[in-house]
Amino acid sequence: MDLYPALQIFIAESRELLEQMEESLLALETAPGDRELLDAVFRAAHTIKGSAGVFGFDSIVHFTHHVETVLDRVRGGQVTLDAELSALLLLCGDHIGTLIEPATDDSPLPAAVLAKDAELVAALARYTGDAPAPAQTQAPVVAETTAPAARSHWHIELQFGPEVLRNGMDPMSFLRYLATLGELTKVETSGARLPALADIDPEACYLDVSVDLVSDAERATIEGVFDFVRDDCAITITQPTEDILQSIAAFPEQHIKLGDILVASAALSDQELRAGLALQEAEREQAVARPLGEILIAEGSVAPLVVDAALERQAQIKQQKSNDNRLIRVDADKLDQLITLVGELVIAGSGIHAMAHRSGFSDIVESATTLARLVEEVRDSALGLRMVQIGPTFQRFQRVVRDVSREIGKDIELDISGGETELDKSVVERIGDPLMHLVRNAMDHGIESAEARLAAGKPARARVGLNAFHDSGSIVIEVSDDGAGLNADKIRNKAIERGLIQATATLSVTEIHQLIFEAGFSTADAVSNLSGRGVGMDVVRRNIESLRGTIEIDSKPGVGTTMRVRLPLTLAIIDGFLVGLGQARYVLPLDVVVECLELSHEDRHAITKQGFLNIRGEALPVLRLRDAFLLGDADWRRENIVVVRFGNLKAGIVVDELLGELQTVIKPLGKLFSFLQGIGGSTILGTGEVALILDVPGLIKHAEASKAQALSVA
Amino acid sequence: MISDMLAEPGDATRLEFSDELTIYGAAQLQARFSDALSLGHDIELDFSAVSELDCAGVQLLMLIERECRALNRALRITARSAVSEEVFTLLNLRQFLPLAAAA
Repeated sequence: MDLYPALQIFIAESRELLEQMEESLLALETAPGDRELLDAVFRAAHTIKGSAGVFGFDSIVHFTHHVETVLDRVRGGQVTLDAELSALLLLCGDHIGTLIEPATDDSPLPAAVLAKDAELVAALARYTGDAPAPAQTQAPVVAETTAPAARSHWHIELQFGPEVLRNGMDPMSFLRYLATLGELTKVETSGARLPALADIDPEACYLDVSVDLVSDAERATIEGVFDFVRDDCAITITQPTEDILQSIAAFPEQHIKLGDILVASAALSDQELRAGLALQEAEREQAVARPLGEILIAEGSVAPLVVDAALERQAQIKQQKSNDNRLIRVDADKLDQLITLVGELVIAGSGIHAMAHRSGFSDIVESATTLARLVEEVRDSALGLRMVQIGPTFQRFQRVVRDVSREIGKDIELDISGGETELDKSVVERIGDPLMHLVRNAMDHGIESAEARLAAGKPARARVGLNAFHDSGSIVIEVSDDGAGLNADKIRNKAIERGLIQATATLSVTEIHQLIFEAGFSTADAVSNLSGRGVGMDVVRRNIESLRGTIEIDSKPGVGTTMRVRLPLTLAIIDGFLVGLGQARYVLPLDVVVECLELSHEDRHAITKQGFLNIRGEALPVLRLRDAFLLGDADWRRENIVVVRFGNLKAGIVVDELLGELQTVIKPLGKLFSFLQGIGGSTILGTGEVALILDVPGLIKHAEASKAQALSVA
Repeated sequence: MISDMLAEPGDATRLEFSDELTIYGAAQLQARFSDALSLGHDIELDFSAVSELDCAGVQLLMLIERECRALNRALRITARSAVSEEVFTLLNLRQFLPLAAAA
């Protein structure tokens, strides 16, 4: 049997469960004794144990069993969940995580893992009061204590054959025996098959008996009762509420009213429901309203068992709603394929749109417009599939902050906001590492020691913040701290020492701050275990830039530092603005375009002279794309200027033609072209032409540089 | 096994049973019931001395009840022994063959 896909699911689910477990444990630290959280922790451990048992991963089952035992004691109140135990359980969660990895192959566990296993089991045993058992010799405890089987309702129909009595069996003896298995709630004896008194064979049996039995016996036991009459007797054994219970169990999730569930499962008529509700309403007026279920049972409309099942399903639906657990797993490759197809659709769609316009047929244009709108919606929802909230990524840092703050002896709390902000899954996956570094950096370097904080009049407890929000087509993630802020002088000195800048260089504070992203730069006085190993911030910057993002620093001495990471929402499709340069076509991401101006003769003159343009009193750095791409002068008489903005930077880009908006799929350039500056990718236009996508941040930087140069010359 | 048939002076035929009402006496019971019905009166059954009752007896009782109903005669059960009581309870026939107040 090919277990591989199932195994993948086991691993993925176990990881999720471990995350939940960790989250709940951390939440329990602030809300000790919270029953629901405790149950969630227990459930996670229990589920992992159960699934691991299915796959025969004895090491996981064995270890998790110990965890579960302790958790059970906590739930039972015999053991208190103090900080020490909480820390231990977190470690256990980590250990289960390491056990899950090698579980997938058959190789024995590494000695280090085994040692850890034994150590944790011994630590856990202190809470259970058991002597620590040697880790690998004890048989794994898989068997659950079998819960008493639920009492179920049975309906038994018996049609006794003619020979039963003559064979020396009395139907009543079966009833008497059934009565020993449970409670006979209802017996109906029918003589419908009896012939007239004159015609009867008095020794033949004509009786039909139907029995309702409430019993905790298994079906097999009940069937066994009739072993001796099986040949002479038609026996049907059903659970009459089975059908109802099944339809209740399968009840769609949008209804969560008890009455609705019962009616739709045919357990209750509309009329009975209305009567019950009316009764409840009447009772409510006298302020003694009972729950609907209770009323229905009292009125005899529904069996208690059915109400129980419906209530259970109702609770389940409610819980699922609250858990928002209604998710399906989709292979990421399938999703990528869909996005690629949608991308092609977008290209084909804009081709049709352009052709329709050229054709001049108004009805074709209308259809094409409708199509374009639909394509746009399809694109948005397809991209939406990939969008995930950043919250879970942020939540993971709770543990990091907790552990690190203990390790470095600083009292730091993590303040999370904007967790509901959505961004592309591929971006989320790749932002974790840079964020981790930024957070650790903030804790290690940003936050001062408690004494220094108190001396500076700050609360001893420091704060590290994670925040996310959307801003003009980008997502902004901020990692902030209320520490000492960056020391510009220190950075400057260090940079000079490392030969990064000339001792005489004049740099703005922002430029000095940016120096910490240079390779081989570290300001830490002591190289700690966490960061400050001199590899880090430059790697962070490179990671972020590979996501087409930027990072900026906002730091005030004594107040704190905010690292602001700006990332594109998605990596695949953008709304673009098409511009022309002679025959060539270029695309600017529409999000960055602020306005378009016609470039007058005077303006052109000013640019050539100054390198920047005065727009409404603002000095706008301008880049002539023809110059930047060395295309030479065209015979084009008119030029236009596109004003673009990225973050806090603005620049004008001079192009020949403005060709309007379009949707476009970003196709990365091959490795061969990776050195090209100012080009972010390529796309295929509806006409089949290739257009290059301009890398606006790169161009702005270029323009800024030439403006600074121009200003310093001027 | 089966007691004598007592013809009441009024309009009821009274049947008393002793011992067993089982498959072994089923044929006789059938004959007795037929005879009782042929007399054209209401029927009163006295089960006070029944020491055993099985399904063969029960189904004949159900038959006579049905025939009485069809012939629009009354069927009364005047007394039930513990054994017959248990059987009627087990088979849920107490409503079906109600204990009538002794005439």
